[in-house]
Amino acid sequence: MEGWFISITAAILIFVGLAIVFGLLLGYAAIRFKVEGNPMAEQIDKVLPQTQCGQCTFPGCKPYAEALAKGETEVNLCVPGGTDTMILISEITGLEPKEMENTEAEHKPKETAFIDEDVCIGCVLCIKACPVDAILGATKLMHTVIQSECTGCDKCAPVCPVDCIDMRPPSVSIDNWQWPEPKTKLESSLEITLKQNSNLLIKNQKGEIK
Amino acid sequence: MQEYVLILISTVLVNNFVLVKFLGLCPFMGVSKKTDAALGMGLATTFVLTLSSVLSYIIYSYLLQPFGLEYLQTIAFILAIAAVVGFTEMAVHKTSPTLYQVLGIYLPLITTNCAVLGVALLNVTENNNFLESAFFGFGAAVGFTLVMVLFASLRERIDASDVPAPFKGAPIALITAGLMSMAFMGFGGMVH
Amino acid sequence: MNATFMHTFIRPLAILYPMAKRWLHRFHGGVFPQTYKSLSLKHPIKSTPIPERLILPVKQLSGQKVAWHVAVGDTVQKNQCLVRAAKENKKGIIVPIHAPTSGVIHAIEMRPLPHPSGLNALSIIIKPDFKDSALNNALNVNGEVPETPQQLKDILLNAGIVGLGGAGFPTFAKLPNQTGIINTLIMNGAECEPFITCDDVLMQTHAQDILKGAVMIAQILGIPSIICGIEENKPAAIQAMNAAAKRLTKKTSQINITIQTLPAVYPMGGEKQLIQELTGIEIPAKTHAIDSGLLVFNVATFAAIFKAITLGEPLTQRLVTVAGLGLKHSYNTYALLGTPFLTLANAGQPTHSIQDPLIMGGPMMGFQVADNHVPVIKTTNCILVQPPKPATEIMVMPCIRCGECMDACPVNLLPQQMFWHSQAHEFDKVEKLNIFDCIECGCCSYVCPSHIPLVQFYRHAKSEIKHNHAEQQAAELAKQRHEFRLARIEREKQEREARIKAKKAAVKKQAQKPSDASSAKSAAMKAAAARAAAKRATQQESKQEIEQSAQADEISQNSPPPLSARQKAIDTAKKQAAAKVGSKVAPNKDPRTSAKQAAKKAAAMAAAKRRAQTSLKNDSNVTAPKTEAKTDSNANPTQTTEHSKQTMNDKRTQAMEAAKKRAAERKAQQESP
Repeated sequence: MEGWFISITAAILIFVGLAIVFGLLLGYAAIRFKVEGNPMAEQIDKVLPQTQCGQCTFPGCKPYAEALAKGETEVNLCVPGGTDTMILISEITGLEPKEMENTEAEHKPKETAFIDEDVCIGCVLCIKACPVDAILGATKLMHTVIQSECTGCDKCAPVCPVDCIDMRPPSVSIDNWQWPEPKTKLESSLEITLKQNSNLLIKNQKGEIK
Repeated sequence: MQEYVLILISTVLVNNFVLVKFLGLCPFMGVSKKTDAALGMGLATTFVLTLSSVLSYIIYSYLLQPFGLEYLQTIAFILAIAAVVGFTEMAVHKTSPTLYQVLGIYLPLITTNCAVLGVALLNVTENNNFLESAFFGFGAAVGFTLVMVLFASLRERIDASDVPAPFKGAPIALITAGLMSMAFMGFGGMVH
Repeated sequence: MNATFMHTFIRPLAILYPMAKRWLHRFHGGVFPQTYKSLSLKHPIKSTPIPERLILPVKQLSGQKVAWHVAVGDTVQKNQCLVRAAKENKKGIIVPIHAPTSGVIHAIEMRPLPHPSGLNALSIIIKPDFKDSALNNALNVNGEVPETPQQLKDILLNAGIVGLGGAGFPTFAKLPNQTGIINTLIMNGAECEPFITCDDVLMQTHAQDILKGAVMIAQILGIPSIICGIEENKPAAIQAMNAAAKRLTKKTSQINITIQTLPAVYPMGGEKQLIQELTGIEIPAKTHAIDSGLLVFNVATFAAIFKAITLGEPLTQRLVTVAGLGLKHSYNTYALLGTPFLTLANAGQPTHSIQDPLIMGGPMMGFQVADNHVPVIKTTNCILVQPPKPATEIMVMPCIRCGECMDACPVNLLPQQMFWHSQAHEFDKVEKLNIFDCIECGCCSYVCPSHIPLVQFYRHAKSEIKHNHAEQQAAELAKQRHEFRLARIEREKQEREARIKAKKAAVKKQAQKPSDASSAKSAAMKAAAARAAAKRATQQESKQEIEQSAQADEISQNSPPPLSARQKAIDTAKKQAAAKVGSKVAPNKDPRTSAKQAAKKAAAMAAAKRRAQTSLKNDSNVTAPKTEAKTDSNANPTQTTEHSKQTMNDKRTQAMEAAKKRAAERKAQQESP
């Protein structure tokens, strides 16, 4: 009876002691090794495309990165970055990767804004909307877009009262032309067989209808 | 001295924790998609495993054994491991941001790595002394890191390979792991 | 172990083990394709007639302007300058283009380029008059060797000379500005691509010109030694060059000319490979030959330099090999720049009518042109006409990791790894494997037993990596600009607030002045007294007061938020109360004070309205993005402030008068009962 009581007391005491020791240790560490700032936000900000488009509902890339670092938002909100960025973000934050909701925008090539200078009335609305100050102009004077600085965020197009802004893909020149990815024969022959099969399938279906 | 070398070889290769003893399979499958990540996980584990192995030895032989509380070892060890992991994370975060960036989220994950608990428990069953348990823990972690990096490199390759559709993803990874395990069993008999 | 011994030992061994030939040269790897060089060497240089149209593409790099010297309809002489880099280009590396023959500028329009992209470029179309009347000494030289490197560079720029080996980098830009930097001048006579023989033929026929050009450069730049590397499969060229060198060394004894025979291996003609073979120096990655004190030019470039310096002739034609298994009569010809490919190919009696795309360059590094009418440009060394490919193409098989490509790579890269990662789109890893040191020689593709188009994967990966870097830079720029914009908006807000504060302070001061003058009491005291008086008066007029305070609230709501609405509301309430006290409770008190206060109130309101308008105006003016605009916006408010002050004063006087009138009326009313 007593031995049983003593062993239980000893166990409880020892574990309480251990818990207190470790608790104190961790508590001390939390104070001693307190880290100011959030390096994760910086890291996330680096992988974001910096279009400052606000499609994530945050006013720019940095606020989104900060919200992500705090774990206050979803990882799949960056539309211009697409799935690649989403995966990078989830790797940095350790959050679960999530499917992109808007996948059609992903494979769209980067576009930049063009102002039809004949139509522009010089209302400066687009200048106010541009997050990177890439539009040049003044009140009642023609505006134009500095192409090398346009991020293609599409924020200026909706605010234009005369609808003179359109988004165009960059023109291909010798400077930015890219070699296409080679298509190996293996793939292409596979495609051909697939196509033939689907053709057969269509024919069969038609036959059935008849 | 020879004894410690033998412990190292034994834990790293012959009795590899992942591939021979099948401990720590969760990070082995989970964090082995990229070599960098695998290496980070391995380094973090090495650090924590060595420390927790030593700490659990101290707790066992100076607290539990004198009071005859051996039956509570699992709980005590888990407590110690969790504390070490927590402490390590905070310390690394403050002292070396670069290392923290490399190890990143893998540090807290180690708490649930059964290899860590396994090492602590095996230390008890094998009656290792202080230095032996330190070497045992370190060797186990090195073996873990080695296998993680090897497996991650293999998986990177597999990702780019033309794998038949039914085998894509986890199945081929499991097959590879099995093959690796068989290969490591070939070390058996090198050290007794 | 001397070279001849190696040769006698390895030759027989090569029958058993072909790759033993790789031991004969100094750089790693290399392949030994069948050369087919005799096809075009069988015939002498053929003269081809002037074509119907000459197409001269104008290379336009982004951000580099060109100056046009001709317009559509102009008549031009041979060697006349048509277009050159505009003067404002600081480091323009566009070389001028000269008319290859006399004729009329038919058009300046977009035409396809001889480039793998098949893109169009602005081109000058010349309709030749077939008289071929030429400007003599178009470059205005005196035939003497220029004394300083700068003079030499000017001549080379004016002559429009670019590297004729293939890369086409402007020659003048490659030369150093000082003498004594270069210790060895290397002449690239290694023409390793199969089929191509234009340099071989040039060395056989113009050995003297080539060497003279080299000696001139060596003299100007103070280079002590010249080495010419020629592969052993060109014995005639070696002989001609040796003879010419002997004659020259008699005259110029201070420059050491060596003609060196090289083993025939592909890619011996690569710059870094040739340097390693001739000097043993391996050019480090990311540096140029010039950093190691070496200068390398193709033999054809030396011939062009000689012509430019002595005759003042710009580069308007070049020796082109037209060869291939699809021709009965492969040949070399002096083709005018701008001659369409198809014209030259048809002159070689093709075995089939040419339907398939022609190839510019050799079979290893050449590319198919998108349109067979593309013109010969300065870097066109060969037009390859291959017979139509059989319908069953070679199947590309999966990589079996044999490692042949690694053994063949002349730059010690790991082609298999690079292929692996580029296939998986892991471009950062490809970059880590030093893909940018790849010279795209095609050795790996040549040896690949699975027929994988490795080089195409590398080209794709390279352009993809470049694209990614550009995007990263753009993102960084966008980030900076966005942050700058936020900082700017914040700063403007603060400035505006500071301005408003200052103005408010000024208004307060002005408002306090008259009351001080009239009653000589402190504002606080007066306010307290007024409040006390108002309390006394509240009993009957409480209803009215509520209405009035509501009015005051409304006023405060209407005024812009930064104006501290509370303050204003309090002010108005006080004034109203004071006025009431003045009129009802203390009828004897000087009504003038209240009138003045009313005037003050009106003035303050007018000013507030004015300010609200100004700040709105500022808002719309301030947003122009550039710094000039910013100075503008800084200038604007000061103007408007002045303006508003003026109007404020006007309004104030008006209000004063009105208030005075009202006060007088009230007085009259009070006196009447």
